[in-house]
Amino acid sequence: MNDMGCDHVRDLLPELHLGALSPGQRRGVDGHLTSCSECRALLALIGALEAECPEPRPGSLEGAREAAAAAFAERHRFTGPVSVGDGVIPMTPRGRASRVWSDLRWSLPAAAVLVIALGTTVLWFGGEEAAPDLTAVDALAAAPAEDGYAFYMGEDPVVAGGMVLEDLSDEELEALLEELES
Amino acid sequence: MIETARDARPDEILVQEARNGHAEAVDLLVVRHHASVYRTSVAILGDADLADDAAQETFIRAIKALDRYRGDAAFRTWLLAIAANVARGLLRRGRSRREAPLEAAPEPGEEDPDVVHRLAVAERAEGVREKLDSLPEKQRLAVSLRIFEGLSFREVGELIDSSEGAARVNYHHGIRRLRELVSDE
Repeated sequence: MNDMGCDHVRDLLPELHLGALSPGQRRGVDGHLTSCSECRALLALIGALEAECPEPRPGSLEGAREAAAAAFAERHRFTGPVSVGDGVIPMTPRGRASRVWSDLRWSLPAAAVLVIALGTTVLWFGGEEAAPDLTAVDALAAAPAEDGYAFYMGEDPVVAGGMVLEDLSDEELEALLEELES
Repeated sequence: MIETARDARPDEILVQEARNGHAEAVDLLVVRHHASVYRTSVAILGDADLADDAAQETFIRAIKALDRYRGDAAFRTWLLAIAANVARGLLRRGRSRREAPLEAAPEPGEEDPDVVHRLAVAERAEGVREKLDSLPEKQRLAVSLRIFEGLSFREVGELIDSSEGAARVNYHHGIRRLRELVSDE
């Protein structure tokens, strides 16, 4: 006797197609499919879609490997031995000490950016000029999302797609400072 | 779906080795997950060139942020979340989904029967893909991630910032809509 309903079977159809069902699940799904033409049609649809699974073009993987290798080299550029006072702290592989160094490395430029940004804000709102018109920004924020489009946020700015100060190179950081000062 | 299995070590071990400075571990992770990252990017961008760009940017961001991967989710889910947001970032910067370019029409009498047959098969398959592309983003992603990547509803939910139940609803609405579109032909 087969107790599986359509909803349960349809949940499992992708796993059936991937061969990822347990023997018990497989028996239940197979039993249901023999008597349900609609679920069989959905399985066929999944098969047609899976057959057209988009694959990367030739060269695409190599491009990603090269980009990753370059990013990895950049990431470990600052993980060499670092002198602190009279001693030398071995810094490879990247560990707690290198994070301390990394934090120190960015703390001063980050503080400078913060001070300049705060100063600019005070000048902007403290002057006699009229405050900027933010109507357009508010309207944009209040506008309904386009069909199906959403920008998903997460706690981690990297996962959420946000810019992070660490992403900036020394040159980019200097350019940002110059831009803020000008 | 093709996975190059050059190494059987789990992702979490490779991530730890990458943190410890082993470049080979990074390369293995890229080879293992590149196709999934690419497909997720294509599902959002609808363009192969942009998806290539997004895939490269995804790995660059992930490598820079390796220390922030805490293992709360599977590494692949974390990576695909970055891919989805990189792709959305490209869309947000005004590089909207492109339509497929029109192919030059062959001259009359020049058709090779084999080529015509292959084109007919490709056209039917492309029809299903086009229908998938016409779904709203959450439904499109839910269907793509379930069928192409074999992700669970919980993992799909993590990727589209929804509950497991909402991911299930998006998947089933998407599949039902695809079925209707196919039946209408």
